[in-house]
Amino acid sequence: MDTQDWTSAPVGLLTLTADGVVLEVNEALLHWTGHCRASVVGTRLPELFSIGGRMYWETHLAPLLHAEGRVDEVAVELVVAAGRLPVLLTAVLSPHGGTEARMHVALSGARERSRYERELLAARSQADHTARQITALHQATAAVSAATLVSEVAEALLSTAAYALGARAATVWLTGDDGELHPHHSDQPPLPAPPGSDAEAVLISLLGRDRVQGVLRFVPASRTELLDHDVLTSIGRQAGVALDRAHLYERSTSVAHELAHSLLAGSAPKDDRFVVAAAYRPAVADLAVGGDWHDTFLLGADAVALVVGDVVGRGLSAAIAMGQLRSATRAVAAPGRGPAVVLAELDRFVEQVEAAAVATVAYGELDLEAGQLTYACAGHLPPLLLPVSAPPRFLWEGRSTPLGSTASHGRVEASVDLAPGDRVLLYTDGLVERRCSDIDDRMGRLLTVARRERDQPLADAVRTITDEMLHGVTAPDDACALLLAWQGPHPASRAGAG
Amino acid sequence: MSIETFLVEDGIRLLRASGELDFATTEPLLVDLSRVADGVVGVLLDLSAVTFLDSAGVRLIDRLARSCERAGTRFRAVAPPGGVPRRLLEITGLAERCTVPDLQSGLAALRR
Repeated sequence: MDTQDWTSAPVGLLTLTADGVVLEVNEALLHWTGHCRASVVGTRLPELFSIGGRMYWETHLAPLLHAEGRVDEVAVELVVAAGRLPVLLTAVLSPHGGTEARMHVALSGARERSRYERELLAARSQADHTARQITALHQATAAVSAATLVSEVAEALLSTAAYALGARAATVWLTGDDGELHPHHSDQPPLPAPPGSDAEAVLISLLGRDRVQGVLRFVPASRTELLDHDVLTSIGRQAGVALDRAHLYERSTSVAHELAHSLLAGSAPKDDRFVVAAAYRPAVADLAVGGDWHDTFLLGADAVALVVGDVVGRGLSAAIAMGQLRSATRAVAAPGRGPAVVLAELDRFVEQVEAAAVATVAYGELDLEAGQLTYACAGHLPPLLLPVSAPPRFLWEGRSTPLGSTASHGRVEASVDLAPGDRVLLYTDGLVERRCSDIDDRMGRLLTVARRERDQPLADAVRTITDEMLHGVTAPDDACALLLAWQGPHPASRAGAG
Repeated sequence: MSIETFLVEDGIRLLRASGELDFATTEPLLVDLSRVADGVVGVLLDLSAVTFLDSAGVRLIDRLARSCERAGTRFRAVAPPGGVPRRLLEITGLAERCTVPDLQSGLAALRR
């Protein structure tokens, strides 16, 4: 190559001895570095590099050159007057061996390329960062929307803080009914609470529709991992809306629960002459009540009415109709009226209340002094009599059609005399009807179980009977059972009678 | 559960039910069957192929009977003695009013 060309080439060119001492250098390189020729010639090339470059030369490049004879496009940095200059180094070892060997080195400017690489790196880290943000937002959204109760939303936030936001400490504060913030006490402390006045802590307000529902306070594992303001705000909003929803859900379920319980409200009357116990299993467990009901109430001083009924259907609409029919039964029953008249009155009632039509009822009145039970069944399964000193039997008399049905012309009633200690079981079809079994078999089963439990305490007996009859039922109807024992007349009247 | 409807001789509508007549299956039918008595002199509900009947099934039968009564149409339900539907209709007291043991006696009762 011509000397002139060599000198003015647009790359830095050097000729070195085999151990890297500069023999010749061109203008381009002197121009880049700002060194004068005299200070470069005679020094070793790595002296021009940054410390990292020097180490790289001694440990990698020089050995590689001697082994392979060349290196290509290795990035190193030159120390220049203005700082550092990134360059790409290409070098070949001339084929002459021994001390005559020469190294020819070309350095090309890599400022553009390294800027490009830096930008590429920045773009990638930005993409990573964005992906992390989106993932965190997704995780947080999924977690809080899966939660139903207020406490579940709070727990979801804490786990989000730990796993999506990379927090090393977190607490959730919830706005209480008093409008003040109260710390949520987690069941399972996944993270320690942030220390009181930690300047590193991040606060996210959980903004609901009408008010701030709470605050998430956490300490990020590191500042650099911290998510963008927008993402944190979004998470706060999601959680706030989730808390709105959870509050609404909790309020409405508690209202539904109270209403449902009120439909079966009223404790059994207290009287020494009888004992009563009931079991109730709604088909829709969340609702607490269904279409079945039981009731016991006094009729004057010396009689008690016992009722078990079943409104067609399940769920809320059946429960509402049940509540109306139960109240109606109490309202139409009066001392001296008798079961047949009560059922006839209820026929008139269900004409007005369509949802209660074709309900079935077993209704009985027990004379607490004489022990006479008068009963009537409107389309209902027969009561089961459990005498002290005789086998149990179903009371098949006093039968007529369901309430308000086409065929309900003429209600009939029947009577049976109880002895002290005798028990009567009223129940609904949910207790005995099963898809795969014959109803008579099931009633036989009820007879067997009830006989076996005959002498158990009343409350235990009714619970055991219900449990056994419903054991293994997969799609249950509402089921209810009422067990009453006559204890005999008042001691005073007993003495009088004796 | 399914109910097939046929128009048979002399303006008699035959409804053939099969499967389980319970709350889940009868609720939608209550609406569909409200006009069942229109334009016929008798409605015959065949329950021979019904395998399960609960209080909702009883209500369905009662509703049918009531629709027919309002329309001045005769109604009978075919429930063979010893079958599942027959037993439940007996227990609920509906059997003696409207059930017949087989299709032939049902048609005969409606033709009268």
